[in-house]
Amino acid sequence: MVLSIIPSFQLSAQHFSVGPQVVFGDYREVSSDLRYNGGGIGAKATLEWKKFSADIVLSKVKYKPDSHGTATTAFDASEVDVRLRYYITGPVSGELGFINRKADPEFEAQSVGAITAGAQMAYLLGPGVRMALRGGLMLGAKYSGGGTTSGLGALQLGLGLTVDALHDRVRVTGDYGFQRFSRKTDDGSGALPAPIQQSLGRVGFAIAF
Amino acid sequence: MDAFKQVVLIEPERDLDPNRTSPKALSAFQVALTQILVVRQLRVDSVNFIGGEGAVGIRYTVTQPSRVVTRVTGGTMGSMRIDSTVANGQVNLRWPARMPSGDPVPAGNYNVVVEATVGQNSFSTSQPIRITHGVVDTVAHLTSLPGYTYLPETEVPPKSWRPMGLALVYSGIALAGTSALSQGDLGSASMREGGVIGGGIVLAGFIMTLKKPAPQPARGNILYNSLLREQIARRNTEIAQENTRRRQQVALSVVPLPRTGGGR
Repeated sequence: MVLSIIPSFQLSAQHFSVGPQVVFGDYREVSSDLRYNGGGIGAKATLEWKKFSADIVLSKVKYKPDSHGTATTAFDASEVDVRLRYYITGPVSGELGFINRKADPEFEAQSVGAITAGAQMAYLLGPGVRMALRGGLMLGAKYSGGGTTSGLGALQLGLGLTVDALHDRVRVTGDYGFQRFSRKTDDGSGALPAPIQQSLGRVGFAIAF
Repeated sequence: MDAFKQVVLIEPERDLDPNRTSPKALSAFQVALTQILVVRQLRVDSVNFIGGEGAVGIRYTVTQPSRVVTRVTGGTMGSMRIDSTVANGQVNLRWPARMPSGDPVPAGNYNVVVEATVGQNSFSTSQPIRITHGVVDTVAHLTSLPGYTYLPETEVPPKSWRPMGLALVYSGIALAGTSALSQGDLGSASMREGGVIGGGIVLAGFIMTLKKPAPQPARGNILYNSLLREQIARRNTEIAQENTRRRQQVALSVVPLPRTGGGR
């Protein structure tokens, strides 16, 4: 009865896709000795409506100490990345969103949150094959261990590929994201650099509605 | 001379063969023709035409100046005068084969009667004709215009290295950007993640370059075809109107029949 009175969800002018991803990444903090790499799972949902689109990207990566570094304890990084996009002209769209990454155990790595702002350039390589390059700033970054970043000190870069398959019902997705936070800490003896850097690769698929 | 007059009265259509008759006899025959009143050589053309848009040719020769009345008799209409004139010599008429109301003459057998009168003398002759009705041919609708053919509305663009080139550029920017933006204190950045995704994009660009490009709409051809369709539709509308008019018309066929006797 309840279901019968709910209007059907019309998707004629909008597209929605969601699906799982395999995630692999590289994480570094403070110095080249404190480096981790690992893998995990993720999910990506995309909604397109007229000139607007939105990405919600979730991931959970288990970072293990790299054999070439001095780190000893693994940690899990759970990240939420939300991007709202507005098509401007030609291949260019503007982006606004936020990113939040939590480390577990809490003191093994920095948890971080920031507002993201940038642009995306998308290009149709062929029927159903799109690639996109994006870049931008991460503003107002907050760290669990304290520290600050200047206005242009936190940058991100991304590369994406989407291939439509099975009559546009399935999308094969591949994404690359690079983040760099030029974080500085001050324990009273002056500002000390404590940068954070992460490279994430994601490969997966999505069901399109 | 009197003998020739008698011959003409008995057989008005009679003519002498100039090759087999003496000039003197021919001259006497011509003089005899001018001294008696006869209507000779009545001819009705065999014609087909659309009612209201044509006419039947009628010709005769009257040998003396006289009042000549031409009528059509028979069928369901009784008698209808179609011409009255004072004439001498050859007369040509055109009869539209229409009733006084303007409608085409009904199908049937008729007589075209020509009666010449001078004083007390009169002579008449007739030519039977048959009028039949038919359907006016209609014009077929057009599916194309002669000399103009539809053009393909899509065209396959030439193969291009642009997808491969752009894939290389995008991937190159991402990897170079990663290298440039990476913090020096953290060592050289990991290129594994960017390399995997960038490699996938370059591979996709390479495949798209080799793949036959998808047909693209040919705007010029689409516009041309639209104009052509519009022209054909407009012409077919005109043809439909013309056919509606033609279906209300009658095709008349007038055929002279053999005569059964001479005139009196």
